Amino acid sequence: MKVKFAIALLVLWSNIGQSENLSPINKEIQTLREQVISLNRDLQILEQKLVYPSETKVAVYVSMTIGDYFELDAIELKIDGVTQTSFLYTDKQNQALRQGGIQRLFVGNIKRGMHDVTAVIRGKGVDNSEYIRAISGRFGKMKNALTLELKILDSSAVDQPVFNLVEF
Amino acid sequence: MIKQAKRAIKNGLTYAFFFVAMTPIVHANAQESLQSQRALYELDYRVALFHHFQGDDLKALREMSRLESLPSKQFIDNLARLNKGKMSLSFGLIDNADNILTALDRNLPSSIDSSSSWLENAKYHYKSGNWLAAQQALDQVTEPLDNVATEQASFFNAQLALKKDQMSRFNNHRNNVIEDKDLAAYLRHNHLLTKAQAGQITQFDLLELITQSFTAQDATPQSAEQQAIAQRSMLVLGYAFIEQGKNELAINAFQRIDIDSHVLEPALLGYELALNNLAQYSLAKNVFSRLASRDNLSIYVQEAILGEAYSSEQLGDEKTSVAKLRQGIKRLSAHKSQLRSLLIKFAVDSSCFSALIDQNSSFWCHEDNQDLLGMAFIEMLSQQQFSFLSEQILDVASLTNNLQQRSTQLDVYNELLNNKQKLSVSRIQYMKQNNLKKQVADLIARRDDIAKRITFAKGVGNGSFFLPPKEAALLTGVKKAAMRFRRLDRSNKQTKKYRTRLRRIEGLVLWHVLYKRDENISQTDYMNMQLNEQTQVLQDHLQQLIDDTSHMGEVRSQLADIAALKQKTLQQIDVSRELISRLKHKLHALIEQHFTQRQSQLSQAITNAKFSIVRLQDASYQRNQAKISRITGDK
Amino acid sequence: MNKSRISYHVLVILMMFTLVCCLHKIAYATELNSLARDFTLKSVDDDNIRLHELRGSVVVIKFLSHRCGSCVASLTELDQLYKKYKAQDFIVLGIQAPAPKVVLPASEPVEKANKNYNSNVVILETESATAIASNRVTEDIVGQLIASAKQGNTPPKHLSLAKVGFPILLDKNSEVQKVYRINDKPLMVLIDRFGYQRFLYQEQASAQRDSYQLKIESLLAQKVY
Repeated sequence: MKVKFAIALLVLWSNIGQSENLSPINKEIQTLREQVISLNRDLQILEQKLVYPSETKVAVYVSMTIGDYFELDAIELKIDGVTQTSFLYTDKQNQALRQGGIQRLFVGNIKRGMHDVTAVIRGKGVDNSEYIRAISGRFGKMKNALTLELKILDSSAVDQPVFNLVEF
Repeated sequence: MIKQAKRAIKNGLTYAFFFVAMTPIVHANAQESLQSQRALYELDYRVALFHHFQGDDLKALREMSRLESLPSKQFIDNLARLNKGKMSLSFGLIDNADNILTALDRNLPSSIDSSSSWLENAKYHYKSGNWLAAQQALDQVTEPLDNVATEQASFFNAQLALKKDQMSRFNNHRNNVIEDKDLAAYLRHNHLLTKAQAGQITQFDLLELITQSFTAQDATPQSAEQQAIAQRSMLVLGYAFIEQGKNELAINAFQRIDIDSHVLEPALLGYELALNNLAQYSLAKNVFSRLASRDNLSIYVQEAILGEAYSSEQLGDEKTSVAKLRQGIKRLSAHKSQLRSLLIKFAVDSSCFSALIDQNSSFWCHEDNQDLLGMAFIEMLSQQQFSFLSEQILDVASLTNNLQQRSTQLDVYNELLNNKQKLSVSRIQYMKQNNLKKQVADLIARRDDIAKRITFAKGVGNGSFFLPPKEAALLTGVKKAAMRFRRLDRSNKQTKKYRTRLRRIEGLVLWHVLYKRDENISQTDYMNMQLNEQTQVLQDHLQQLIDDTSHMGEVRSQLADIAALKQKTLQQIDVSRELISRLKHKLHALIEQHFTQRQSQLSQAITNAKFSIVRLQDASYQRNQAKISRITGDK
Repeated sequence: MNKSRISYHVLVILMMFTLVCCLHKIAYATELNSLARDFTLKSVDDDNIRLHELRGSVVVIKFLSHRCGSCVASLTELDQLYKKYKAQDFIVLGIQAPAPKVVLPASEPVEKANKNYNSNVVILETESATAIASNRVTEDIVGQLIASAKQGNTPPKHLSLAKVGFPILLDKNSEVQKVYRINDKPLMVLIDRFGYQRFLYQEQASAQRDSYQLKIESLLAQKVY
């Protein structure tokens, strides 16, 4: 009986013990992770040069400040009347924007000259009232990359969100 | 000379004035460009934060890494570094996170932010089993944090103290864990474990554990986690009591374990052992048979099979005991051979093993009792060491996946650039073949020639360039005739008639000549325009040629970059594959060890059972012999 | 701008276009054991749901089409599984192909018995839907259906009613469907807690239906730290 008991105990204790220290492999995995990051970065830099050269590059960012009055649902971006991208926002993404994150909504290529950029924004305001706002701007594409920021701000003056489309 | 000197001074002053005037403008421009650089940096930095807040730390770190490689790295401040540390930690780059935090600590006094980051680091080290590093990280948590974090810090400190047997430190930290009942339950359980291993369990421990599970009317009910831990603690107490010979207390403990608890089997076994120790064999037998009739042959069920036979033997029913033993041997042998064939099927390079790793199931290996074995595998893999390893394998597999996607992307870019290059090369060939430069030069010469002549003609004013020779001669002839006619007698009537007619003819001729001249002018203009166009075309082609040639250099260097990156990527893919293979081998070794151990336990049990059968049969044979000899003796 | 200059630019833009298309095809979704492709869709209850955010849960993606009579049984089965394992972080996503007014939010619960059970009503047509002239389920018909079901009548033969508790997402542009299809038949996809596609089923593979539960259970057993 004692043998059985000992076996039982053994199995019991081994289940409760902590995982063994696998640090040599851990370190190798960490090195691999670092390499993956640096490769991804190099590839992104290459991609920027190749696919989006600054002569034709246009980039649109979205930022939200405070965001008490507004919950973002969807944004549709149009350049010269053609829809370039439409994006749906989850709660988590809203939270990320409120915490100070900025979303790179769209990167693309356009010709030199003047272009119309429109953003159709859908969301919910205070008391779940639905919002659809379209905000437009006319921007000139020169030699440098065209960087636009769509700012969503709270305006306590009017208890409503305010939308701005500005160029950098 | 004085005049020259004055002029020189004036010029110098003018230059100086402009220079000084421009400086604020230049400075303002520099400020502005610095500001705009900073603004662009902010954008990209906050994009990294956006990725981080959504849990996509690979992308976040990629952005940060890119920012560090650009001139914008001058804007990276301590807060950014701290956030990068958090991203590194979430992504599993624990050493980097440690380094960042240590560097920040040196530059800044400790802050709440860095303290909370150290806590996260400590948790990660703890999870990986690096106790020393975990303790060192915990020692850096010096600022007061919120309640949740403070209790967590106390929890880990207590756990580490327990491992080093520092009981007073353990108790101090344990007293800080009040709100978080789950953590408190873990600490209590581990404390009990330590006590049990040292043989210090008393009945007061049991009492305390029982009272813990009673909840006051208005207190929050125990979570599922707390209940599970409490059950495990009860199990530990039960076995500790058995070891101390306090069987009634053991039974008390075991009876408090729920039927659907995951420690039911060892609890039932313990219960049976205690009953046996108290010589309550028939009760023990019932409990044993309950456990023995379960489908999965865990070690507890195995022991129960033999225990049932033992109880029958103690009750004097040797026949049943032998029968149960024989049944048991059959069952155990069958299971043993199942395990053996299972191990063969799950060799390291087998498809079954791959399916197990990739799909966390043994469903691909169709077999009888596949569900049984499937469940055995699931149960085994859900144990900590196995699940830790399989999680690592998945981790590295996802990194490999990422690398393979990048490799494919590089192939696409490579093709794109190669096509571009081919296009340029063929265009250059075409241009060269058509002797472009010379053509351009010729055209330019011709155009210049015409232009010169036009200018000359315009300049001179008589427009004779535009007048074709025939017409010029005509005009001269007519003029001569007109002049000659004028000398004639004007009073003569006939002369007047002829003069009028001649004037008309002159007019016509002039008109004709002028018409021809205008025609010639427009034709010349047209030719000029055509020449301009052709020259422009050829100049464009030439420009293209120049562009292509200059771009070739760029394309070549980009292709070289791509080739270098591709090689690096393939290298890392190899590294990751090798890592996965090593991890798989490790996992397989653990699985083999587990099931081999199981097989030897089964063998041992079978041998014990066979011994018992022989002993029982021998005992009954001896008793029969004694009976017979008594009977024969009496006669 | 001269012709050759224009053609050069056109060529470059074409190349970039093909590049973008190629990149789009790189991670083709229907391979086993690959990471499930991310998407965000709006649910019938007006939430936006993103697949990547469901990491840590076992996810089943079921494609709903409005011409699938045998789907009712499998939907009910799935719904039962969803109820049973919801507490263990098990989620079923029903993805609705764009069909006009087929899915309605449950403003009016159909069966009196399950009042507490918040459900979406999915109306499905069977293959023999010859009675309806327009071949589509219009809002009127749906209204009639709900009204008659409220009165306790069974729905007409050519319309089936399946009631489910899991979220139903609207795939307006059929993007997600295009990504997850093999051989032009929509799949059912089982995704494990780490986001990997583990099991794929063609629609109406009734022979495999029995192993749903076991496979889901094996995926649920995986632990995530």
